[in-house]
Amino acid sequence: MLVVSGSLLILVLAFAVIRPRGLPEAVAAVPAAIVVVVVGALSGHEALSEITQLLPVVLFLAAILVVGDLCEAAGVFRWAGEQMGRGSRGSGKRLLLLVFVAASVVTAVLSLDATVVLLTPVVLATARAVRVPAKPHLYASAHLANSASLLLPVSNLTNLLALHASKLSFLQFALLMVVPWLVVIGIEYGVLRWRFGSELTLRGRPLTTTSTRLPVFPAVVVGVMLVGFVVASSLGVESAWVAGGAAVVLAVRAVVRKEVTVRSLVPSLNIPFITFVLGLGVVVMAVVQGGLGAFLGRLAPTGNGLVSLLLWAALGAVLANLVNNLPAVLLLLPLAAVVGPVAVLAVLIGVNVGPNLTYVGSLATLLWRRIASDNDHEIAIGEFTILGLLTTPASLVAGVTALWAVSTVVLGGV
Amino acid sequence: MGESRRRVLVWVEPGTWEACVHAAADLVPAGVGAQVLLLYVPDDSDDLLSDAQAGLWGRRRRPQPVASDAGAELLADAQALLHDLAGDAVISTQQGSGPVERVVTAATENADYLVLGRQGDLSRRGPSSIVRHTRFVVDHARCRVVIVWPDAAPSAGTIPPLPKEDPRR
Repeated sequence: MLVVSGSLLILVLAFAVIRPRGLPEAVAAVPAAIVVVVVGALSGHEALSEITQLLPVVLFLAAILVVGDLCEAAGVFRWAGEQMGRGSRGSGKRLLLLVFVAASVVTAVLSLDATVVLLTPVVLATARAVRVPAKPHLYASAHLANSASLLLPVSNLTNLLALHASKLSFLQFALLMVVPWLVVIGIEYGVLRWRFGSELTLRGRPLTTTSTRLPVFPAVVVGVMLVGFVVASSLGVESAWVAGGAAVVLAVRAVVRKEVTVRSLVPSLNIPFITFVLGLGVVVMAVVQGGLGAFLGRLAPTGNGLVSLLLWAALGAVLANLVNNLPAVLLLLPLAAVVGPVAVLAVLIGVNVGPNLTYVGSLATLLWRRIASDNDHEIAIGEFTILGLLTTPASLVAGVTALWAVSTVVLGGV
Repeated sequence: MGESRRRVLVWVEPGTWEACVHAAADLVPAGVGAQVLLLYVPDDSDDLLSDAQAGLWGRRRRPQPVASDAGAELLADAQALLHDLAGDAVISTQQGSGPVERVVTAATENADYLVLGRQGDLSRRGPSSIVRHTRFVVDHARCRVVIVWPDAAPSAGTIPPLPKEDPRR
């Protein structure tokens, strides 16, 4: 049975990397999920319980993606770009610092998707407008989308998946992760400043004109939403309700003000993506129960010592780099959850920071894009990979060490 | 007359373009009857951006066009500056596309001079003041190459001393 579900998993993952004819990933994942149930690799009841567990998580992500899109429609990212441009006063070093602040905050609050899809293009446009070499700023934004996604359960889909398994509250999660988050961002900053020291000294031009005012309403809604996450978590209410509420408030206002149409909001919900995650979750569960779980369980470290935590993170980083962090976290969570919340957080450091090793998130995606693309990006690949090699192992070790130290103090080494 | 016009190619890049335009103006004094091509080639940041987005499985891949007028604006400013400095040169601008160093190298086939800027370590004189893509162009250009410090060149004191074992010491 493991052969059947394992082959299906490989098929689903390969489809997601290659995406034949640009078809959505769900096209393979959903039928595969049905097949694993039909052949009996997973009972209908087990599949349903996996879906019920994943549903609030993916609904949350759908809501937060809508919030991000509506913030963009309201001009939040345009405003941030202008502030970075003006604040840089023509200096590449100052711009890099501002990009770090913006990317860290956007990633933590609105998730890594918002940084990759909404902020990074603005960063590129800003660097070009300031007339400084764009690469250091682009790399910073792309890297921080991963490495700054450690802080809050909402910063990364993987964190949301892990929050349930870890049994931590929203605030406990943030308290344990704030120091690792800062340490990892600090390492990224140091390495980028050192590596691009010369490009950053070239002078650009100061930008003085700003045409966008801070969109106050979306900023307030996002602030209230953050407080809402903490309150909801303490009341045992799913965060998806809070994010959904914020999305509805922003959407109603944007539709009334004719900034968006109801029709244009539908793609923001990412329905194919939700079905993909649910399908993938079912297939992974079948593989785990079919024997891979027991196998990985023998490899998995026990205990909460520093060495065990480092091993958990390394396992997460390796699996995430092979294919993608999503299947990696689905595979490892059930195992790490047995050990305890700190092991779960170590896995998260691995699967969140690890993908910076290759610039597209995983070796599989990298290889496929090299095969599929006809233009020559070899220099960029080399540059980005060197940067990944310089930051990722150091960030993993330092981040996990910080987590271990904090957990020893806060939880008394639970 | 067309045959004997001096053809100057200026590689316009952020951070170094003003110094390059000044150097180009020195190459085309009044009466020389020169033509100057200002060439800007965007780097591959846009490809990197789309690659980074490919790592996000399953999420929408809404194309995010990056405002591409930055290059046109840069060329317009370079043209205005050169016009002020060398009024009688025939100035044209071009925005290239493709691997930067190859596009610029190809453009040297039809030039007598190429003017480009140092973008690397500008705190001391030495090979690290020329970054990789600039080095490629310097090594492969067909025409004469003028290499410009974007600001005042570092002092001669930044040149490393003759090695101890050098017999000429």
